[in-house]
Amino acid sequence: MKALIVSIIIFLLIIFLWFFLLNHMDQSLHELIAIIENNLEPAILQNNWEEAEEEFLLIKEIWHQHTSLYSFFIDEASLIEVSYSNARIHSYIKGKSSVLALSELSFVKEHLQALHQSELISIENIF
Amino acid sequence: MIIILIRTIILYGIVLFMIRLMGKAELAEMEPFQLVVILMIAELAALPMENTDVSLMNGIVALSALLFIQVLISFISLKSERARLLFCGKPSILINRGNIVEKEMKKLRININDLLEALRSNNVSSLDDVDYAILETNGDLNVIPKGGARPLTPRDFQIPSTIQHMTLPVIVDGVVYKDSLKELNLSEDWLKKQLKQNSIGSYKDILFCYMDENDSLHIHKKNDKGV
Repeated sequence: MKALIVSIIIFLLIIFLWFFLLNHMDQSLHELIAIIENNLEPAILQNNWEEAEEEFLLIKEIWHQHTSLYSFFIDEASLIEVSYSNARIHSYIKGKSSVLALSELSFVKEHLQALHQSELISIENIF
Repeated sequence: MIIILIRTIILYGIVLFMIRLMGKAELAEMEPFQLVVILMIAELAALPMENTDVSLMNGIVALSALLFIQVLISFISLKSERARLLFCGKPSILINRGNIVEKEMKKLRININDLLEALRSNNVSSLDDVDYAILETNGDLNVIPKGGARPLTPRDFQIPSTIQHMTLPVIVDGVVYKDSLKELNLSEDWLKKQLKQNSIGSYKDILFCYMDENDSLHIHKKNDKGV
């Protein structure tokens, strides 16, 4: 009986953690995407590189805050991929290359959305 | 995270279903082809379970293919002696009429110590007591002792030992086994009367109750040593 109670608690704990993670990801990843779309991309398009760098550093800081939590639940490889892209975007902004910076940002946006999507219960994810 | 949980539950159900389909033989001592299937099932189920990049459908297809191969080989082995020989091999006689078959031991890479160990686990202390020792295809060593070393049986004393029926559970953890009562040609009224005689008011007070081969009813109450 004890084992049954413990296993039910563990099961419920997993469900609770998943809800927490999903909710957190929904808010934080969409916040990042919103900053990219509303602040960073327009700054790059207008060749406002100082503002672009400021916005990028803010995104980088938010991302680093979240990765420490995500690393408990999500594959390290997915997180590292975003970090590598961030490093590339920083170089492109410093080099004032709008085409490369925008294309890398598109990749990061897609990847952040995929991170959130991969945690949703759906037929595609299960099978 | 939740995807891994769901995938694990699905794969657990599929593997359980497949092992049930493969039959009880899979759960006992395994033949070589059965061992291969079980090892591969474990590996194939673990991959899509832990890695969400691996398609679950691919895992299910691979597991289904293994099920098909296993059932097919079992069926062919059942029908054909040649196939059985090919898939399962043949038993090896390690001791023949009390003599160790060295050639067979060398072929199987079994030394004397291994043989003695296997004999001891079969409750045989001396090689002299063994008439035949056969290494079966599932890895089991079966020992046939010499006439003078085999245990006495009721037949040696010409004692009749016909068993009316096997021991059957009647109540397990408060639940009545109606099939057992039917098998024993007994009714629930009779059972209740027996329990009343033992001052037991409800089935729920019983942990285990069984009828032995001599038609004696044995009752073990919960938190009790037995009646």
